Amino acid sequence: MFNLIKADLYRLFKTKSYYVVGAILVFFILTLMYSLGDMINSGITTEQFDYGFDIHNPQLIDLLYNVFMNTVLPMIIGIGAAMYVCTDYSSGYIKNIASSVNNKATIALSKFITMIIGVTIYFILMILLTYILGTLFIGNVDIGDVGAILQYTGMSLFLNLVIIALVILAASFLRSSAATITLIVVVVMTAQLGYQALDQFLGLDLAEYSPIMNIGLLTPANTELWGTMLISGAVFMAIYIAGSLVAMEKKDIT
Amino acid sequence: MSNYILETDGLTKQFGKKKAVDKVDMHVKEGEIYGFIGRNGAGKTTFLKMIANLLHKSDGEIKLFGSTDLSKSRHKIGVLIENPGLYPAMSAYDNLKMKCMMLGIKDTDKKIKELLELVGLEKVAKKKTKNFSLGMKQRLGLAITLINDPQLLLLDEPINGLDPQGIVEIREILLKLQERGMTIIISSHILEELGKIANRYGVIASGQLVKELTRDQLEELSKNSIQVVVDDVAESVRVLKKLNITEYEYHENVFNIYDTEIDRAKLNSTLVVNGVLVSSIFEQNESVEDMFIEMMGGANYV
Repeated sequence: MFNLIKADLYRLFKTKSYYVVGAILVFFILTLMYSLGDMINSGITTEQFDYGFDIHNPQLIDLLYNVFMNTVLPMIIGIGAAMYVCTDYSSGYIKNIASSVNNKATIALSKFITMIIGVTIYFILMILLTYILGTLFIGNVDIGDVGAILQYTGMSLFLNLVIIALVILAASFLRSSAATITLIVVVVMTAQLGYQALDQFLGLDLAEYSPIMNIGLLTPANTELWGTMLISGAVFMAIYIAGSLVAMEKKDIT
Repeated sequence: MSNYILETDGLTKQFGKKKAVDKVDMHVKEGEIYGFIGRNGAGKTTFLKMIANLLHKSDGEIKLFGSTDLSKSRHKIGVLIENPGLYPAMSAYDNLKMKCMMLGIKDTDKKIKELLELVGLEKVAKKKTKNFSLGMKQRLGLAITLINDPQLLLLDEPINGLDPQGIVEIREILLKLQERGMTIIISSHILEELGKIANRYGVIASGQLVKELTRDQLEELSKNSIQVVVDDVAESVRVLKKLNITEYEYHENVFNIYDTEIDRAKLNSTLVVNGVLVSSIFEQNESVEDMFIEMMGGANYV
């Protein structure tokens, strides 16, 4: 499987779409930092500014919160992952891979591990960009507690990787980038509605267990909720990955 | 010990109620080019996909290199099923490199260079495959199958859609590979091309293997005869006996004489002298093509 991962990483970094998604993330952070800076520099007071941080002493972790809480982020990364994973099917290269491995389940696992590495690079890029662009548009940004930044970033990365696991599950069944992307976009955009409906009609408040909802609920301050988020995220991830492995092994490649 | 590199016993694949492959018993000897012939939809691709680990079999057994434990022998086969699977945005070199990395091949540059030279694509190594012609894609697909130096190649319709030049190029590569000792199973519905390279044939129709035969058997079976249409069957039989012609059969007033060395003029005149009216006499060749079409279910078979 190590060889499969090496090959998948080789393709990831040779693929234009990886850098296009990266560019989109850069643009996203650029516009976010610009709009925050514009608001702060327009003379708004800390009380009026409801983005949760002291405008006179902005910390990097506060700016990162404003980046990572957006559900646009997992959608962009999810779309990129769907395009990458489904290229094996659309190009037909899956036939070259599947005929060479004894256990086709390793194909899905390799994709997930590759995505962990790829998305981690995106998150490192986002931290750097947030600091640079935050300093540029807002003013002096204090790096603050590096440990807290790493922990918060790690949690956010983990929750996004749960979405990636869902992408891989969907791709393993649907084997079409259009269908997988549509599914991910619909899931991300309607998750809140879905959980509200569950609460309203069935009295089931499951939002706190949903990785998608937790991406928006996660803050650097609410660490008391992180344990539940981690466990529920891990459960979802395990289910998605297990489903992908089974789908890859059992489903015919027609 | 069997010298069959591939044996299947009752291999079956069912999709819902339809049996796409129905109890196929195939035998492929080491070192031969096995021509797998059948119409479109006969089950050729489905069969090959089962051998290639792309489809699960519904029933039956597959023995590769003498073993039913296919995990031990998958690395010895190369597979090109339907269109070659190529990443369009990557170059020929990168497509080959991907497979090399997957298989843990060392010294990939040397391997890739060798393969590109074998298939005649060394000058376009850095070109993206989306800009390749169909023939170039097929050749690159073939190169990818050869990365792991397989002992058995499964090629599904490798010459489909190719121009005559492309077909010749693929044929030459396959013959070169056979000289190196590779066993090749090549499926096609283009009889003429298979006839030029295959040593052995398997004919499949409606998912069932109708016949397996060698090239020699094929030539023996494709019948040449002299066909004579007469008005008096009984007298014609006496004439043939007088002329010591024994290899013949007749249906109503049409005789098929299988001894094509006989003097047709003498036969004609002898029949006429004995009061038999001959309305036609000509040499009939049942071509290999006609034979295969008959085996595959006939010209109007749907």
